[in-house]
Amino acid sequence: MSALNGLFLLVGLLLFVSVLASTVSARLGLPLLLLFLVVGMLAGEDGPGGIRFDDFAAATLIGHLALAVILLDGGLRTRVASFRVALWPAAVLASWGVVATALVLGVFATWLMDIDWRLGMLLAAIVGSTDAAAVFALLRNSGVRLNERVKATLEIESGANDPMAILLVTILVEMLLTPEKAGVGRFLLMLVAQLGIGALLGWAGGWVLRRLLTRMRLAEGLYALLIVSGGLMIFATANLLGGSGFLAVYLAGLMVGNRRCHATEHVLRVMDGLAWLAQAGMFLVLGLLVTPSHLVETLPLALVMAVFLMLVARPLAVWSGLLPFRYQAREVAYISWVGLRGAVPIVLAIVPVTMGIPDSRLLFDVAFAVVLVSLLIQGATVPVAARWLGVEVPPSDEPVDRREVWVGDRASLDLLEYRVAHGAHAEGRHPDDVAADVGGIDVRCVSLVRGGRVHPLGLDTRMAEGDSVWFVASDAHAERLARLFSAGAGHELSAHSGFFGEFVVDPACPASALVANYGVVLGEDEAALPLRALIGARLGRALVVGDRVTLGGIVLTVREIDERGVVSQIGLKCPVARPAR
Amino acid sequence: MNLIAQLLPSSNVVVDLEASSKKRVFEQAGLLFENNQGIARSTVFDSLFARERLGSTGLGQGIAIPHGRIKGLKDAVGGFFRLESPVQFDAPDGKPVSLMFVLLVPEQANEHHLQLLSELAQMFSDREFRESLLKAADADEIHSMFANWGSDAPDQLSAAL
Repeated sequence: MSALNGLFLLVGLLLFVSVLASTVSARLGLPLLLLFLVVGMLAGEDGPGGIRFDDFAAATLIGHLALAVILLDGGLRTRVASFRVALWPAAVLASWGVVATALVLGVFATWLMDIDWRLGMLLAAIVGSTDAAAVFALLRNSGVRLNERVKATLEIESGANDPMAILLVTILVEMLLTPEKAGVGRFLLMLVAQLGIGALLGWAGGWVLRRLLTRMRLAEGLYALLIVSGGLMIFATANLLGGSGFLAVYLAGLMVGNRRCHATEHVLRVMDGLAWLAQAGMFLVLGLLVTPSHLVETLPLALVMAVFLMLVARPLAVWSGLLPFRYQAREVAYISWVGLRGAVPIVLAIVPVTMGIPDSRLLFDVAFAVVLVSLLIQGATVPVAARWLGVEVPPSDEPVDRREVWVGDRASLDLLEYRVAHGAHAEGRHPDDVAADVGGIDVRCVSLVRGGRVHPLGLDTRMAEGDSVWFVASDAHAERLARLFSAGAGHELSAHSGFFGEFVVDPACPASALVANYGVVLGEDEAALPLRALIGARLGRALVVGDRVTLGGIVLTVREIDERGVVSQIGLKCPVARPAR
Repeated sequence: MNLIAQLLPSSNVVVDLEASSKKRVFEQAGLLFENNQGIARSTVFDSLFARERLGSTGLGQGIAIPHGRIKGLKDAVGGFFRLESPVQFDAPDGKPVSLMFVLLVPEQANEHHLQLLSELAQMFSDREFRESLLKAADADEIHSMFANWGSDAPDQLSAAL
């Protein structure tokens, strides 16, 4: 019994330390995942923990399980609306991008390490895919709001590119072990099966889960278990049938998460905790698995590989893949830079070890070190690079908190909380007056909280700075309401006018108004277009918030896009005089 | 003296203008430019209103800078209005407008005229400046505030750039 409890104590302690340490990582600007990995390494054989753990099979088990949970959670939180701008680019990156990265890096690795070309290719394939866990976690916790095109591309790519990497690894392992069986036709068939079966099972399974979730009445905590267990079944079934379990479980999450129902909130809340547990558990175990002293030996090699991957292979793959989609150069640069590697390469690197391929320990160590370098350098610079490359957009105006109250299966009320900022329009006014400004009788104030207590609402109530006010309102009013409660930062007259421009213009207004009012020179066909169509025509791609067009000194910036993907507000910025000195 | 003060004659500063709507304010502005600069009031009114169709010229925090191009005008000219009671302007933050700078530029508007707009927006984003405009006793005081803006804090503009 004492051995068992010793294990419990150890598991508890490792998780506990990791969670506590997470407060430090935010301050240091390091990715949390890296921290879990380091805690695992410290607990391992070369660290003060001194735990010997080299059970590759157990690590594979935990790794796959955790990845399934993380991809399910990622799918649940990916809005189908983001497909509008990034589905095809991400699909190209998830397929061609992985192959191109592996090819370029493989040739380099073969030359650098002077090994069998199949081994070099294998190593490249292992680190060929970006990692969903790392990308989701780092983009969501980095505190910057990325331009939607960049964010959606990175997220969908990372959720969908594992099958390709797994396929490449499988192929290369087969070529090394049983070269006589290898054939192009077989591999093509495998690819089709992976994608086809994965997609079909994910879609069908997700559809069933979604129906169950909307129909069933369960205890609150059980909804998430329903989804997790269902997701696991889909994952396993897809794998058993020769399909991609990762793709299937991601799609299933996507299906479930994009139909809101009375249980969605419960599922998301529990899944959040589970996804964290999966990440922490997986990275701890992978940290335990590696032998840091081996890493040090391979470090110079891994460093060269990582640098080549970051600066040559990935950028080449991304640039060539995105060429048809007219991304801006700085967007391509950012997507290249945030090609985060994470758990998937480590889990994949275990495969050749368990298959008994010669030199596979070396591959494992190099792959591990490449991941470490990627997390350390790329992971830590996610926000800085966004600012630097100008792919950041100002945070959207949102309620401080929103709660969904479900009444029956189909109808829900939105409860929205706002906090009164200093200098905001709402300051000093009655909540009902502000509500009337936005949605007429559609918006209702239900409560005002001042100094932590519910403040009685009277006819003479005036909102003061710091009050938190709760409204019942449709979600469509949420952003407009938020604007009345926020104030421009420091030097700005309205929120984010520094970024979008001082004026707000109507996207439906014909572009000829710019000709009439500002003397902008436009062709006749362009002048007849509404402003939103003019911007679309100039940029030649689906628009996202933050997209810009310069017309005779005037800068038009897309300021708001509604849920149907139509531009609903445009900012106009006049050129600034250079100070004469 | 800054760019803005050069195009604001002291006679074009009006305090405590009484007007009930955006439309009435623009009519008053037309009248002022007709009397002082000899620009037909309907020309001013039409030009300002045409710009509003593109989107409100309200900037937020009770500030608006309506502007338009005027055929035959030689040099850009401005007018400043402090309203007795704020009027609805569909500004981005929803606040009604109480301080308004009307800018009229020649038809051959160029980059320089566009820069005037951003300079104005820059000026009004200074909270202290806004507050003292609201408090100022009369038109003369406001005019000298425009003339002196930036001289006591030469880094304001460059700091914001």
